[in-house]
Amino acid sequence: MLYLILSVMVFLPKASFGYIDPGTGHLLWQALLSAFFGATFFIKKIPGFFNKTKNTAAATTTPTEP
Amino acid sequence: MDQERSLNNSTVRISLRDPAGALFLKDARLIRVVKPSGIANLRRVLESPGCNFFIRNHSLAKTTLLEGEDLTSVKASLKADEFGGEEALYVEHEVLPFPSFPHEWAPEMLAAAASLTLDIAERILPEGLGLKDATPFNVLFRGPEPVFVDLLSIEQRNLRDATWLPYAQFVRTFLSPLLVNRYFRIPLADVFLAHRDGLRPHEIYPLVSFFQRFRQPFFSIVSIPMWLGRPGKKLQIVPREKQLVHQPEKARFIMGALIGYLRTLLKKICLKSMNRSSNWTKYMSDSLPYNKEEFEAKNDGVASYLKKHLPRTVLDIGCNTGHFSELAAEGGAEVVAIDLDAEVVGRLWKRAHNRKLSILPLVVNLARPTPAVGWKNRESASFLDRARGKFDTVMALAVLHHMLYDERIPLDEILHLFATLTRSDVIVELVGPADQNVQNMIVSRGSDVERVDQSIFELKAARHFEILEKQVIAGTERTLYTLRKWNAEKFSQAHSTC
Repeated sequence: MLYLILSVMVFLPKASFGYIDPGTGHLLWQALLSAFFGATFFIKKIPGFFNKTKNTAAATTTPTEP
Repeated sequence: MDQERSLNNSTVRISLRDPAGALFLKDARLIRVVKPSGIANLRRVLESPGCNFFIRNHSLAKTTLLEGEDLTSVKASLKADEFGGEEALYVEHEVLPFPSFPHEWAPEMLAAAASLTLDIAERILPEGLGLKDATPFNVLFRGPEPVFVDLLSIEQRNLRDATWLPYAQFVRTFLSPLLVNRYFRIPLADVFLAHRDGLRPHEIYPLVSFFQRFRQPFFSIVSIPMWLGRPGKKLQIVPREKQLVHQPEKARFIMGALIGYLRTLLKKICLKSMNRSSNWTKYMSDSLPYNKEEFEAKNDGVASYLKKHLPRTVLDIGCNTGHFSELAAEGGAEVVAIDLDAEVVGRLWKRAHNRKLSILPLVVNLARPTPAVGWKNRESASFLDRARGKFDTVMALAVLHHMLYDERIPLDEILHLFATLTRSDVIVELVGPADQNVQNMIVSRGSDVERVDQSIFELKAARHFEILEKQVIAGTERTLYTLRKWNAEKFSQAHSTC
């Protein structure tokens, strides 16, 4: 039984880093970050929209010089 | 920087891996031959306002197109037909005084190089340009200032591509080495001499404690990439075309945010005490082995030499926090200051940077100088290959006894090395065997060491040098010698190049 376990352990595929692209983890993390920043790109536009309307409203309510 | 000797003795081919062209050092001029496929890109870079901003600030290597008779003669002498023949473009880059590599930098210098790389990437973004690689080997130092030298790294980017291509390389070669240096005190030389392409997450992960793995900057630089890139994980890479976003404005925003994110991580690492003390950081302030008058006598001796002879290039061996390097730089010399202690080199870099002094401080132990590394051992030249015959004056102050008794290098060998490094003069401080510190060193290293007193020193020095001046520092066992090489060259009028 012991021999069987040892043989299985020997022939089990071991994790090897030799053929892993060293940038894979970073690439995936960058993709996740990009998705997050991409979302903020649209969110940023919303306050811009409100600011614009606020400014326009402010401009219209500013009393004009006689 | 790659070095491959070719064609004839006066021409050295530099850069081996760049598919867009080749770089040659020809009669002290740095000539780049660009293949036809890369010409439009390089012209775009040279016309870019962002790149010209950095060229004006001396942070990007100055580059000029070769034309007319000069172009004809360069073409004829280089014979670089394999890079596109008549179609190829020839440009000349400015030559920086002394090339250095990240394995010789203090951590502060690597951080400055990282910051410059991000500055360039950020500034050229709105112009539709980007970096195709981001490694410290693209940066050299002019005195204490980093200069981005690889113009072919800058290219036109796909305006809809939101991926910052050199993200992983930047993390591996800038952030990870700084991270292990700051948190685990692993010297940069240990990182870069063994790992030219930097550190991968799985190489740092075992060093990081369980709790650190969830804390910044480890979480972003090590843990997350390690978990995501675990081997054996089935990974389907999405084709780049499918990763493109619809709006160029959005792609630019994402890339800007990614660069900002990397800058935040860099700052976070740099916050981890860049100003640590070592055995040598308090040498000048607390541990000087002589009193104020004795030090002033030595200082006057060096200052009067510098004032009288005005060397243009100086190598300060064992510079410590750089008192004498500053003295030389204030007199107008370009100084390369070396010390084995990264902490003192970092402090000197900061002072030179703040005071705008022409000092390039490097972490080099002359007893075990930086080896040549890379492909065929020719990609990064050894320190001695770069330094040989490049200095008007070599200063070795309070360092000779460490080489003699700590490193056990024979005096003959040391003097021979000094004679190969200098074109003309050496200022060397001899600490005699009666000095208490030297006696302690001799006792701890056994009785068979060569005890060098004035008569032995003068006898052996005479093989390479004539003694111009000899100043015994009163009240000490120290003697300051000014030596001149037999048949010394005149001091250079133009700055040296390597």
